[in-house]
Amino acid sequence: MNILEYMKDHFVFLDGGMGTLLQEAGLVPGEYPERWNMSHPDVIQRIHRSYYDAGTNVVLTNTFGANCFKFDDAELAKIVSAAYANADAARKTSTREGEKFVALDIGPLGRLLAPYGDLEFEDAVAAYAKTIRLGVAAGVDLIFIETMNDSYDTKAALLAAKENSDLPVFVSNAYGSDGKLMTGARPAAMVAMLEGMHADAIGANCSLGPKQLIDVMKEYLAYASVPVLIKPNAGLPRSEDGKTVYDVLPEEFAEDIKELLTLGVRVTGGCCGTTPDYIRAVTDMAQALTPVPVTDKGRSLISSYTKVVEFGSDPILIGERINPTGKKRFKEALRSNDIDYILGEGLKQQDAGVQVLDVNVGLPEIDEPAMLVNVVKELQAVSDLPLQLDTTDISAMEQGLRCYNGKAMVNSVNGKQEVMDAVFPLVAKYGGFVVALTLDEDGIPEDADSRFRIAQKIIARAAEYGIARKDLIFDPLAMAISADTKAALATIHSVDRIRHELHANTSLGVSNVSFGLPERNIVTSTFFASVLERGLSAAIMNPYSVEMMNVYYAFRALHDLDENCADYITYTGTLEKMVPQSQTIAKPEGDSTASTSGTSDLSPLKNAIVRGLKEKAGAITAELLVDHDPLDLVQTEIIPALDIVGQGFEKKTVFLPQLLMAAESAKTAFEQIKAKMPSSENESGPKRCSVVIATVHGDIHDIGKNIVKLILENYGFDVIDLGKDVPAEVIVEKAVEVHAALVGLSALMTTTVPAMEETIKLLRVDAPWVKVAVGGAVMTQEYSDQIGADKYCKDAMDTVRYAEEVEASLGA
Amino acid sequence: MIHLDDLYLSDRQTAFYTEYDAPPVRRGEILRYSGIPASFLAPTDFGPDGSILRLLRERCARCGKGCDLSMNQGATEDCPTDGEDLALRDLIDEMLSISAPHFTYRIMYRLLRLGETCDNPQVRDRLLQSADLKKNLSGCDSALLFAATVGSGIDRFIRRFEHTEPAKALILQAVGAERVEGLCDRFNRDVTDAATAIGRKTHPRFSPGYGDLPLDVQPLLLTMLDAERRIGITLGSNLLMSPSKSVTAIIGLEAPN
Repeated sequence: MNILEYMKDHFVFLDGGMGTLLQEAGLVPGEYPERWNMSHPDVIQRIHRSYYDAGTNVVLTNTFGANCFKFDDAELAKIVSAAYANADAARKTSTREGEKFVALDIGPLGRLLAPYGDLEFEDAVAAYAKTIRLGVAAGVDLIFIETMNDSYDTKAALLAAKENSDLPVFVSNAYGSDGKLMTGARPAAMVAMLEGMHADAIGANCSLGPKQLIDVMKEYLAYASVPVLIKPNAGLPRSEDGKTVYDVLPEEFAEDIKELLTLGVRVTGGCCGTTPDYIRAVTDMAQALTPVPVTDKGRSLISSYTKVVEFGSDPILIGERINPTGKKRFKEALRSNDIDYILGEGLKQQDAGVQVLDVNVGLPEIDEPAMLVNVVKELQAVSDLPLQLDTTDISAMEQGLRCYNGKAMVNSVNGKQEVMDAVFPLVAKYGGFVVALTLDEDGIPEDADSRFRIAQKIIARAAEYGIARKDLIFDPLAMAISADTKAALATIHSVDRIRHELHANTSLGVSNVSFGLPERNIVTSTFFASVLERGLSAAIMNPYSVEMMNVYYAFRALHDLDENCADYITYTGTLEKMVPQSQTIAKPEGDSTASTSGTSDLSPLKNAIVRGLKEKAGAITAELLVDHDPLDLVQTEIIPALDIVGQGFEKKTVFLPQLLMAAESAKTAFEQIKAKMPSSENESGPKRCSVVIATVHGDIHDIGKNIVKLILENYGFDVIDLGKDVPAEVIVEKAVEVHAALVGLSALMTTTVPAMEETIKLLRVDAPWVKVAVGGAVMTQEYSDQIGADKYCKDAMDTVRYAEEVEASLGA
Repeated sequence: MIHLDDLYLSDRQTAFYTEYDAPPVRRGEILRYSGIPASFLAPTDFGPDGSILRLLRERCARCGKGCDLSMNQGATEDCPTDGEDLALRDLIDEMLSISAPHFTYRIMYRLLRLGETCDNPQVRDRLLQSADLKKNLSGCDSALLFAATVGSGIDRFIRRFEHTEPAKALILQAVGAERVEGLCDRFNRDVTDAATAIGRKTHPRFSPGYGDLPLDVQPLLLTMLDAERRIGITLGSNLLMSPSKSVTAIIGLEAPN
């Protein structure tokens, strides 16, 4: 019998701990237990058999750490096949009746994934795939991924399992005492991602005892529509009379498990500290219990690496600003690969209160799949909001979904056969919550009835791909009332019918409705209120629109979605704060700070920059730009202010944090100036010479280099930042390409100084004109001389001064 | 609680887990880690914000315009620096408050005997190849190894700001460093107390990267401590730890006289 069939009507019992039993049998700390499959098959078989004899249905092979980072290919193959043979032999020799399965045990690779570690996602998938293919070839019945403490790593393992086998896959994560994975995911977020990718059973193991995991299990049971599993430790270990003991004994363990099985857990066993006695106590206890049926919870979920967002009666705001349509500055950022600008748009919307970020980076002249992957990876590294991947390029959609850390929202599918057949397979494979536009081959129907029928058609087709209604969200399309005054009514009725007759979620890009009208915000926000009233579950919108946010917070307060009206009150607090701010902006010459703290001989803008008051620097600049020449402001205000701080830094009256705060304030001022002259070549004054900077190969920390970049840019240098861990050839190539005047190299560790030396050697050959400045935590004048650099710069200002020197020598 | 006496009863050592509440914040340390020289940050009688106030007083003294911003008396007519450091204080406050909920304070530790009864002589011998560590451990019959981390949350915040707002990234780096050192200090104090209770003395803690103890002992230490599986400390190919605000260290323990 297949494990999935068996699981339908039975509890499934897993095995217990392996490590402690191996240590008792003589495994030395530091020795790889996986090698014992070959060296001590008798011991391994005996342990497996004792678990089967205790009533275990599924024994996990002794392959927890069997991966290609620990073993070479030949040894890995031997380990996996011997491990299966040991489990299979135990199954055959066990005397106990009952269904017996062998699961390929997959533990974490022990490396953190990029960007926080140095293992690329696809390399992790490939590494898991190796072990999984070996297990499948050996003949295992299922794959058991366990003790995973990072959501991205879990996704890599599950993806590898799905791509390399048709076997059932169980996935178990290790939660800390705070109820989260090491990297922050709460159980609901894992449920969303793992169910989306069609794991067959999900849950938790290791780290804690059954009592400490009860809240984690309750969250699983509330969200999951697949069987939930638990494989806890025998409580917490402590040292007693010279022996490591766990504080929960078999009988108590079985009692705790009983409570969990009664709550609805269907698959159970034990982890560290548990032995066949524990499993026997559990299986004996469970004979008196009937399994709780697994039901579809019908919850519409998306997730990020840590958070879950649920769609239903509480409306969700999806920020629309990461989108080049009609935005000159955004298009420019896409063309110049200015990821920081795009990230900034995302983070600003997060601060403005959206729960999901729409990501649209499509421009005809760029490589959209590559750009989408890049933006998704960068955004999910800095923001914990789930993303909505907004693209019509199927390849971009697939690659974006693949690298996404969680369960994404997908924008969009529609009633066209061709589109459904392209999008649904991706959603079925990677998981997703799909926006379905109610249009088809015949275009957008004018009436609500036809839109409703298209929605029905989409639901039926999705089901054929195994995608449930709860994973669809219908966009019945808001059209401009300036073109057809019946348009809004059709949309409002569609929302109502899809919500109340099809019991499905709806989403709208609400602002279309006011296209072509004056004072659009009035119409859009009123329309927003109407559709919310009819049950709209989400809106793709502009979070900077005060009118829209007013409607959102008021609606939630009016509909009992905002306990004690707390969110509404907090929101109004931010509104009040905005007022005095705009008043100070309105009268920059009156300079309130100068009057409170004594007059200073500095102008208001210089003062703001010197003090590191970012918002203020931006606001004053905007005000001054009304009647001042931008370049003039740079020369007479910003640069002199920076000089004051720079000189203070050199004289040691100002320190790094203040230098940075001033530099950022200057940057805010520059941004205002740039916005004033977006197309011009000379963005912030006459361009100075080119400086290529990089952290050298092998070095992954680059905060110091980023500081140098910021300050150099402040002083008008054309800085090309190659990032961190940059190979020598790449640096040389760029220096030649832009004919750089100066190359700045940074190293944090003594171990990467040789990489710096190599880079300098190559530069001397291929770019003999270029000057090389070096810096970084380990750098000294002595090192600098040794490796043949032109200059050792002790800090950012030192680098500016040297760059000025180099530039002057070029001019001379 | 660390039961050192229990650890000494065992022939075969395993690694144990412990966790702490947030240790008290030491703002002076945050300033020091963010690049303000230690000479400005000597102990003061200025209370919890002492280091910043001291900074203000020093600057006012140097400036010579006659004000003392540290005493909240406001600036004179021609004070060139008014308010600037309060912006820094606000920034530190903001970074502390956004990062605080994302820290966890977790430790794995284990005893390593150094003499005849050592249960893992390879590891001991590898560690003692370092002359500096050997010197640090002179007179010790055993040592406590530990790995501490404040989690990966701070790394996300640093990354979030490092390209767009480096001042925040710098302060967050400093906050993270202060947090993990605070955790180590807290744990170290417990170890010292436990050692004192059984008539032992502890030596100053020593980490890979100090003196001639190379980073390449990290894989050994982390494996011995089961730190990857239990508290999520992983090593990159360059031997740096992730989460970046993690520490491994060795505390020498002298035998009772």
